[in-house]
Amino acid sequence: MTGGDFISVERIYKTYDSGLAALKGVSLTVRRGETLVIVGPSGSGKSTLLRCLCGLEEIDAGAVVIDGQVVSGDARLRDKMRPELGLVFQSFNLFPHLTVMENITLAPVRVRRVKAAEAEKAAGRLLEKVGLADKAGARPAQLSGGQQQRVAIARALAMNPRVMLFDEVTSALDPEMIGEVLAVMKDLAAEGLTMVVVTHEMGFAREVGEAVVFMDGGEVVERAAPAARFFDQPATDRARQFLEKIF
Amino acid sequence: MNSSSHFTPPQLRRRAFGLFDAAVLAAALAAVSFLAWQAAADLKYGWNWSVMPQFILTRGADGSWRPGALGLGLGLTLKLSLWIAGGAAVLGLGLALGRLSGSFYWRMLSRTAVEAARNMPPVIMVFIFFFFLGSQILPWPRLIEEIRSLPPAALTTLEFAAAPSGRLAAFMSAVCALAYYEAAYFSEIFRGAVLSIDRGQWEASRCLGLSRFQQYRFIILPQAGRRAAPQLAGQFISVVKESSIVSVISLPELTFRASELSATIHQMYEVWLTAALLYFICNFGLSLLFGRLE
Ligand SMILES: Nc1ncnc2c1ncn2[C@@H]1O[C@H](COP(=O)(O)OP(=O)(O)OP(=O)(O)O)[C@@H](O)[C@H]1O
Ligand SMILES: [Mg+2]
Repeated sequence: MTGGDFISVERIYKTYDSGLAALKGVSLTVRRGETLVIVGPSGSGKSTLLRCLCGLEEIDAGAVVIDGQVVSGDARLRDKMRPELGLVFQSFNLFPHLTVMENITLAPVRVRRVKAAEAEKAAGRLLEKVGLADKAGARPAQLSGGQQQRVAIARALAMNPRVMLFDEVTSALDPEMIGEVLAVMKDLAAEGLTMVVVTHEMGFAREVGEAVVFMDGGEVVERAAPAARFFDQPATDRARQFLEKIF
Repeated sequence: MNSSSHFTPPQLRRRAFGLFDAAVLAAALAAVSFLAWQAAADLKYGWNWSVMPQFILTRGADGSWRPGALGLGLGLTLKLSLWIAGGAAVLGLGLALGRLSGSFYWRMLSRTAVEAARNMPPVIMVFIFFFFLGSQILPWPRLIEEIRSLPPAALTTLEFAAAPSGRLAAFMSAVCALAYYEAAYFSEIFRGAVLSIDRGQWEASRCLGLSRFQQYRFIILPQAGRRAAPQLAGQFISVVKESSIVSVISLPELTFRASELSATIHQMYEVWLTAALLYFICNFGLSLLFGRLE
């Protein structure tokens, strides 16, 4: 299904305990089936925004609306909604004491109450999808960074989330492993999964992004669709400067 | 520059036995020999080690081996230590989770419990549990009656695992007192291990929808437990040594047996040296065993 806003962020503010204002009135929407790319300089608040979306951080003001429901400020609703959002971290955060298979099936079995055999079958399919069918029994420490990140993606997908959030998932990887992870993400985008992708990979952003949000200093400076328009003709000076520094 | 010397780690060269090490060793040997010589020459004392083995292990009339007084004491010491450590681990984990809780009430409660345990001498806690709680407040006597009426098999098992029913009240109050005392240290170990787990583990599991209980059970505690294992093993050895203070309530563990024996036979020095040696062998053996397990 396409069309309609799945996530809507309305003028949210977030100030960390240190006194640093990381988000200053950010608004944006993510449509169903859309791949939204967020770019911006380091420290502009991109990670903070994703963390506020999935409730890892509390917001100070504004509203986060997911699927028509205001989840900010309602702890119970947010806990219920959390499995609908799959977050993939820059640092993988796999569970080192569990095998790849156990990493993937833990949440479906314990949270969604799926039967173990069923969860394993589904996990097997996901591992195939990310090209790691032969690694089910391995521990995270036995995998390369790129492999670990693909397992992390499979782990998030196993919950059947309705949106996937990616926070610079290739930044911690060696250059030769970036491609394999981006390829998986491209497939997901092509399948029509709703995705929010924070990335420094501008080639990927341009190719896959159906819309781009440019953030700077805790604010959304510019939104453009399709993504290529942003890279070819940025509307603001700040965006132009940002792009000049990168290319 | 010669490339092979370039890659030699500096520590390797320093490992050699130097002049300073030799001096320290010589001084230590001299001190020990002096004491031994003093003991042999000045002390008007008839050493007789030959009577000692029978107090560890002895042959009964029917030819079967059975523990002597010190052997029995060592057995009770180990039993006590296992009970104390088990109780301390459970209670310590609870206190650690309490101190890490989001609720101010639980944090204060467990903090208070830990501080109380840490700031009182364990020997006094053993007395308090035995005299005040054990005889006045806790329903030990009634409990003991109940236990005596258990089916014989269960009673035998319990008496083997703990103490004969006549001494069960003392045994249990000693276990409670020291388990509580040690729980403060166990809780510190658990707390440190939980805090050492990367924040990303909490965040990833939370994003997947795990409840706090599930996070602890499936993600945090399995990793924290593994990290805490070496310190827990070390703490167990402390427990074995610490258990010697229950001799003050006449529980016949190793220290109590030694003091009893040293008062009844002439070989006082041999008795205490043997007891010390038994503690050492037991604990050193345990630490070797734990080291092997890791
Ligand atoms: N837990 C925290 N406590 C205090 N300040 C924080 C915290 N996390 C982030 N910040 C600060 O908030 C600001 C926004 O950080 P954020 O991580 O959201 O930026 P970002 O756009 O993701 O940057 P990057 O591209 O480097 O990942 C930064 O100045 C950062 O130092
Ligand atoms: Mg970031």
